[in-house]
Amino acid sequence: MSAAALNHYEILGISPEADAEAIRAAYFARLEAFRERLSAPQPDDGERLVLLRQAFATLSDAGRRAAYDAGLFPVASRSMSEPAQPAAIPAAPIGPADRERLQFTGSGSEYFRIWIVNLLLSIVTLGFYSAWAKVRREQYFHRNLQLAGAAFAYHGEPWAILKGRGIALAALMGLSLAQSMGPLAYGVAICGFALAMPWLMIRAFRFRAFNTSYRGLRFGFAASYGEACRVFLGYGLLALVTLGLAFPLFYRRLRTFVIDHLRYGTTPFSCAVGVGVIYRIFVTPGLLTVAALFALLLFAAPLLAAGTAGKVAFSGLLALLPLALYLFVLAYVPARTANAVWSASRLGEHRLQCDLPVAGYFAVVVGNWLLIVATLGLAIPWARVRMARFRAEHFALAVSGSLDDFVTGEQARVAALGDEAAELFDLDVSL
Amino acid sequence: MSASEAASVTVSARHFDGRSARAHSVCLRFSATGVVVEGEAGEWPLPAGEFSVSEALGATPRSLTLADGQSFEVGDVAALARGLRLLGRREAAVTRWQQSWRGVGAALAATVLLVLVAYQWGLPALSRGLAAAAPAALSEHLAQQTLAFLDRGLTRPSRLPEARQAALRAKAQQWFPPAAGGPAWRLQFRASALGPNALALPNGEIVLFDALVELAEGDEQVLAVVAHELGHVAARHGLRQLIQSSLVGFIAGAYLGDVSVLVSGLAAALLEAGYSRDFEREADAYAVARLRALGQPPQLLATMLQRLETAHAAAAGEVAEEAAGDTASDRQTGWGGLASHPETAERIARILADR
Repeated sequence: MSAAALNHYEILGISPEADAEAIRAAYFARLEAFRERLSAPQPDDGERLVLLRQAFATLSDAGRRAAYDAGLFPVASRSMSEPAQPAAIPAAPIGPADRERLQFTGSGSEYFRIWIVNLLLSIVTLGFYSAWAKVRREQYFHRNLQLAGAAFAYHGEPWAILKGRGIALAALMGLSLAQSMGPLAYGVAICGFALAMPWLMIRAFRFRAFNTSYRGLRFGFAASYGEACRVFLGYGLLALVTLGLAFPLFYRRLRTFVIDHLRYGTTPFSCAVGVGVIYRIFVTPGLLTVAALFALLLFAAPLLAAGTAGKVAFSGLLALLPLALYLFVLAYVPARTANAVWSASRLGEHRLQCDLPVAGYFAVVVGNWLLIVATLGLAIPWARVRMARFRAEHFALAVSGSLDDFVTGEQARVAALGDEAAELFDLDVSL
Repeated sequence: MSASEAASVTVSARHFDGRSARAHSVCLRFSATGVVVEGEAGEWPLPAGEFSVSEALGATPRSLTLADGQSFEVGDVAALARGLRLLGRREAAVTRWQQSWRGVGAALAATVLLVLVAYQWGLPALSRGLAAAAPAALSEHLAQQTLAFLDRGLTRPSRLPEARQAALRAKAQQWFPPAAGGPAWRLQFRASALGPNALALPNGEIVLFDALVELAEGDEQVLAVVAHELGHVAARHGLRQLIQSSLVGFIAGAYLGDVSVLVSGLAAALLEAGYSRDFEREADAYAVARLRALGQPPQLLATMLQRLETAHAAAAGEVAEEAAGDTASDRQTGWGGLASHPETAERIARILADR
C-alpha cells in the first residue's frame, strides 16, 4: 500500500508546476514502462496502474487539477495553478469538476504488433482474415478509449462482418453486371440500390452502435425506414437539384438523424445544431472555391498570352489551387462540423463537448500522410493512434449528476450487413 | 513460476451488472478450480466455463463477460493473464504471436516479402492467366468502347492520302501476315491533337496517328512501331492492364483508403506505372524478334523511339494546358502510348543491345 501515500504529482514523477504537455509525457512514459514489464509483472502492478490512470485523469483536466491542487496545497494553490490554465475554467458554462474528457491510452508500437500480424494473415488468406483484423482494430481503439476511468468495448463478430462483406460484394457485382446489360437494366438496378441504401445505412448505424459498450451497457440505434428515406433520398436529391446550395441542409439533417436515433442504454442522444451554424461552416470553402475559379479565369488570358513561362505558371496554378483548396477543406470541414454538431448534442442530461482546433487537426492529418508515404505505409498504426489520441483529447462529456444512473433496455442481436456494405461503398458512418 | 504463485491469483476488477452503468469494485480470485468474486456483498463463484474473456491486446483493459450481460473490467491485464493460466486457459496462437516481438519481426519480413513477390510475379501471372481465359467478345467490346471514346473528341478521321494508307496496309500485310503465328490485327488511321502516337486495342486493332506516320522516315519505321504494338496485342497487354490496374487500385484502396483517397490513388498510379513499363519492355522485345526474323535491323524501332521522344519534348510546352484538361486520355494512351514514357533512353539502349 506504499503507493497510495503518494500524491498525483509524485506518482507521475513531476513537479506541481508541470504543464499539460509534461503531464502527458510523464503519463505515457510510465504507461510504456508498464507495457515493457508485461512479461515480468509485479504483484502490485494492477493497483499502481489504477493510481497512475487516476493521477492522469485528474491532472490532465484543468478544472479537476485546480480542485485537486486546492486540497493538496491549501495556501499556495491560487498562485500556482491559476496562471497555468487561466482560460479553460471559465470557458465551460457548467461546473468544471464535472467535465470528463475522453482519453486514448493506446500506443503506436503496441498497435503495430497487432496490425502487422493481422495484415500478414489477411494477405495470406486473400482478404478472408481481414474481418478478424477489423475486429481487433475496433477492439484496440474502443478498449483504449476511456471516459471517467472506464473503457469502451467492441463486440462485433468476424463472421457477421464477413457475411456482410459477401452480400455487399454480390450487390456490387450485380450492379456492374446490370451496367453491362444495358441502360434499362442499369437504371432499374440503380433505383433498387437507391431504395436499399437507407435501409443499409440504418443497419450500419445499428451494427456499430449495438456492438459498442461502455460500463457494461450497449449503445443502440433505432430509426424507421421512412425517415431514413426522407433524409438520404429526400434531402440528398434536394442537395443535388440545387447544385449543392442545399448541401449543408442535407448534411445537418444527416448528422442530427444519426445522433437523434442513438442511445446509450435507454438514454437517448439528441442533437440541436442549427441550420445557420452549418451554413456558416460551409460558406467559407464555398466562397474560396468560387474565388479560385475566378482567379483562374482572370489569370488565364494574360498568362497564356505571355509565352512559355506564362503557360508553365498557369499549369502550376491549375494544379496547385485545387490542391490547396482540397487540403484546406480536408481539415476545416471535419473539425468545424464535429465541433458544431457534437457541442450541440447531449446524452440525456449530460452535454457533449468537442473542440477540435482546425490547425491542429490539419497538422495531424497531413503529418500522418507524410509519415505514411515516407514509410510506404508501415507507419499506419502510429498514424491511427495519433489521430485517435488527438480526437479523444478534444472530446468531453459535461456530466450532470452521475454517470452511474444509465440503465439498459431490451437488446437484440444485429447482423453486420449494413456496416460492411457501407464500408465497401465507401460511406463514412463513423460517429 | 513459484508454488505459491500457482495456488491463486487475485485481480481487482470493476463489476457491471449489465442493467445499469454503476460500477462496483470487486476482486477476482483465480485458482485451479475456478474464479471467486469477492465484493462488498460477499463472495460468489464464477464457474470456469460460463464466462468469455476479451482477447489480450497489449496493455488494453480486458473484460470477462457472462451470458446474462454481467461483465468485469480488468485493468491489470498481466495479473489476469496469470489467473487465466491457473484455470488452464491458453491464449489463442494469433494472440501469442501478436505479443512476441520476434513473431512480429517475422510477420513484418514475411509481409514485405509477400507484397514484393505478389507485385513482381503474382499479380502479373494472375492477370496473364485471366487475360488468356477471357472470351474474344470481351476484347471486342472493350476495343469498340475505346475507339468510340477516342472518336468522340480526341481523334478525327485520318487526313493521310488513301494511297499512303493502302500502301502501309499492304506492306504491313507483307511483313506480318496473319498466318505467320502472330495475333490477328487490323490497321486504323486517325488524326489527333495528341501528337505522334500509336495504340493497340485488345482485339488487335492498331491505331496509328497521322503525326506518327509523318514523323517516320519511310514506311519501315512505321512498321517497326506496328511490330511494337503487335507485341502488346500478342501478350494481351490491354486486358492485362485493365485487370492489374483494377486489382492494384482495389488493394491500395483497402490498404490506404481510410488514410486518404488521394494517397491511395497516388500509390496505385505509381504501382501501375511500374507494370506499364514492363509492358513496354515486353513489346519492344517482341518487336525486335519480329524485325530480326524479317531480316530488318532493330534500329528502326530505336530511331523511331528517339524521334518520338524529341517530338514530344518539343510539343510538351504547347500541349501542356490541353493535356491537363483531359486526364481521361492518359489511361487510354497508356495502352500503347510509345513516347509517353520518360525512360526512352533506357529502352533504346535495350533494343540496340538485344543482338
